[in-house]
Amino acid sequence: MDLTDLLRYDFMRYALISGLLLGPTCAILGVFVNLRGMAFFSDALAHSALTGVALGFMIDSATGWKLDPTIYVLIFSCLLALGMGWLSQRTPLARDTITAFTFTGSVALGVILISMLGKHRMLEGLLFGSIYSNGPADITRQAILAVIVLIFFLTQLRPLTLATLDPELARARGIRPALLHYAFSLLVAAAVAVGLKMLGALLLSALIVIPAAAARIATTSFRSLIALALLLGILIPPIGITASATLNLPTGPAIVLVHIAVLAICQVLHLLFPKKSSS
Amino acid sequence: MTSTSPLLETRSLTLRYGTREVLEDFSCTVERGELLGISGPNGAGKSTLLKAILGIHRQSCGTIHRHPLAKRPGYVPQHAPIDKNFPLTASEFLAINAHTRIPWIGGIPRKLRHGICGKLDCLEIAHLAHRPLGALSGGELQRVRIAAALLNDPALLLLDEPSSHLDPTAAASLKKLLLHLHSEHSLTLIVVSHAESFLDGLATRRISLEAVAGTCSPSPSWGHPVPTHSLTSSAG
Repeated sequence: MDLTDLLRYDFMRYALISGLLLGPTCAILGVFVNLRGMAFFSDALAHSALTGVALGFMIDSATGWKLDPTIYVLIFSCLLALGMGWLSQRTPLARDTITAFTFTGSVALGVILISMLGKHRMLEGLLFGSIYSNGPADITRQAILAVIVLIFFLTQLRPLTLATLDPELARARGIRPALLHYAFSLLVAAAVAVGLKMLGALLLSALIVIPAAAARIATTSFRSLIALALLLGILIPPIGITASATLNLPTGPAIVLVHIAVLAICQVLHLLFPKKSSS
Repeated sequence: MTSTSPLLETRSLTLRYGTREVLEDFSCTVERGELLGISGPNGAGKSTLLKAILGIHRQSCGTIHRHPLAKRPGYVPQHAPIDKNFPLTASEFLAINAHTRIPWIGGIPRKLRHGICGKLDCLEIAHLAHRPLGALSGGELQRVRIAAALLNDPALLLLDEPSSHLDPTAAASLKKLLLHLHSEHSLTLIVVSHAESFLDGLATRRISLEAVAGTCSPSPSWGHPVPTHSLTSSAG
């Protein structure tokens, strides 16, 4: 079955559009996730989405509401991101220590809640994603997220870069690094909530972390880093989806393995042809 | 404010970190064209004073008057280790320091190209424009940081321990550059350094702060007593 045959199916078209929207969105967020040492943070947010879904079921059953689980995950992820940021400024504990106990604590709570609700069967979808269940509503949410992220980076890329490199210099320029950190964390939380259906809690951070990591290995300037991360973000998900459909492989893991292959290629090329330090 | 008003004036300035006072009742005037050296041991409040002048240290009382020309001073913070793998070139570093609303997506925006290249030329580091920050030597990096601080053409430049982490040759070269900026570009500078030797032959006036909270004393090089807690002095 070639790509033309696959495109006759709605679920496949939605999956590819999903990949084309989420791939570059997560890749551009991933540039700063990498530069700011927040890879573990994004992984923790993805895993804690389990708890968001479980709490959503509990609220729905208690109130009779029937809201989309993504909304609960979005709210829970944002609150968790803000909470971790708030706590990191008010405790002597390191950021990754806070992330570690938030991560394990929320996963434990999520699994217990899902077990209490008797929803074990949904665990696989939550953990590994189910990209073919994407519909127009998911695509709309992903498009809105892409636009918000695009606007944020077009207006805030300069201050965010300076705040990441040298927070004190940024403060002297009138930038508020803490506020930018919160805004950026919220965007990562939103990407996790919106992208959960594509790759699931276990694999989602690959979509955020790996394109930018591969680009960082291969580039020396910021412009080339952004350009390569975006290019990889656009190309890798459709390649993974197509490979999974043609080779009959699970889609989420196939997308992640394509990411890993690209990362490995960049690293090998880096070893064979070290970057020049000047041009 | 008149054109002859001081560029900067602090009155009875007291700076704190929490409940700990690092500088008490400090008064000082900086005239246009001065090259003021501030020295003193660690903990004397030198860096905090610069941050208060910049408005980023808010735990203070007293007043700081900045002439409109000095509303946005250039600032070169104390050397902080830069991630050697941060993928930013020297010219991109200048671009992110520009006070402008021109969108930036890496590289040098066309409208900033002239200003950035001019500053790199002025500091004789045009050849470093496309070199990653992590590949620069300590002296080269310091020149790039100064170029970034000068990008917005400030009337006042604040430098915090500019010679730390530099070898003697690079420090001497930096001193020469600062003297050039002061004399040829009529720039007013405040240079903080714990190394008195760096300020020798550089500063047109010097202030020495003491580590003991609540006291500020004049530099021994003044050679005459000044009332403690009040420094509104001038020396050649």
